[in-house]
Amino acid sequence: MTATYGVLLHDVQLGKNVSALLTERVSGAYALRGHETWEDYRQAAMEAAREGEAYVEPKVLWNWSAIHKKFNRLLPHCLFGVECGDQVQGFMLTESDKHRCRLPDQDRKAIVYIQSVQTAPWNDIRLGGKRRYRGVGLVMLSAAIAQSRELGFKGRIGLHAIGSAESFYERHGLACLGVDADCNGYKYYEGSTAWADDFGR
Amino acid sequence: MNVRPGSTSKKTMTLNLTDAEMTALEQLCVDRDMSKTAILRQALRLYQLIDERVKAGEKVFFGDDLDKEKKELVVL
Repeated sequence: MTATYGVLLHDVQLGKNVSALLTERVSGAYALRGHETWEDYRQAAMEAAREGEAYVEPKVLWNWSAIHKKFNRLLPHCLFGVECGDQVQGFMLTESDKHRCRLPDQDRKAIVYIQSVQTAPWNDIRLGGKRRYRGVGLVMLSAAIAQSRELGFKGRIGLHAIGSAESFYERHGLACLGVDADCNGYKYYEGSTAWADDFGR
Repeated sequence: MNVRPGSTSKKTMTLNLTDAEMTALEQLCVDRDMSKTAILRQALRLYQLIDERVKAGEKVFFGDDLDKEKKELVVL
């Protein structure tokens, strides 16, 4: 069942926080709308790049509409979206059945695992454009912690980070447990209950 | 930040368990550091996931690194 919550994003142009809407278990129409808007932007950016504008293709391109179709019926998976200015600003897929904690003091305990998370291409400065909104990553981390608490996992979360996102998770205090050879060599990060309690304070 | 996913309204039900089932549930609570409700909700998520995949024609197996033999889990 879909549910929505008020959150804040930072509008870079206005220089202030603005209201946004976080949706838990987004609909198929929502996922498709987000995917199509992002794809239109990407195509236009690639076209502009041929004319000399700055644009770098993201390393990973997820089709969030296809992700929704694949996982939407399954209880362990949850697709979140955050909307602002009538556009989808970010997506996150979590799962709560397959992964276990790896930190020694919470080894093998249940965890909310962030399977994939992405901000809209116009918010990703790595792609070369001017960022419209900041804070999507923080909203999604907060959502994963809240989901973990609600499921009885006491705020514990984990994820594998693509190289360019490592600094974001390190900046926000997630513990890095090193390179995971079983996951394309990506680094694995985990947040403990204590970390979750401190997060956002 | 006002983020409270999962806090949508919930339905309450009464669950009757045998002593053995309650003992197993309580042991899982200790092992997993989770409440009884959280354990049972997690069990439901897993059961639904397995059921969906079996209905889609997949099979579930148990195995380990030493014993290469795999044993199929039959989901009733």
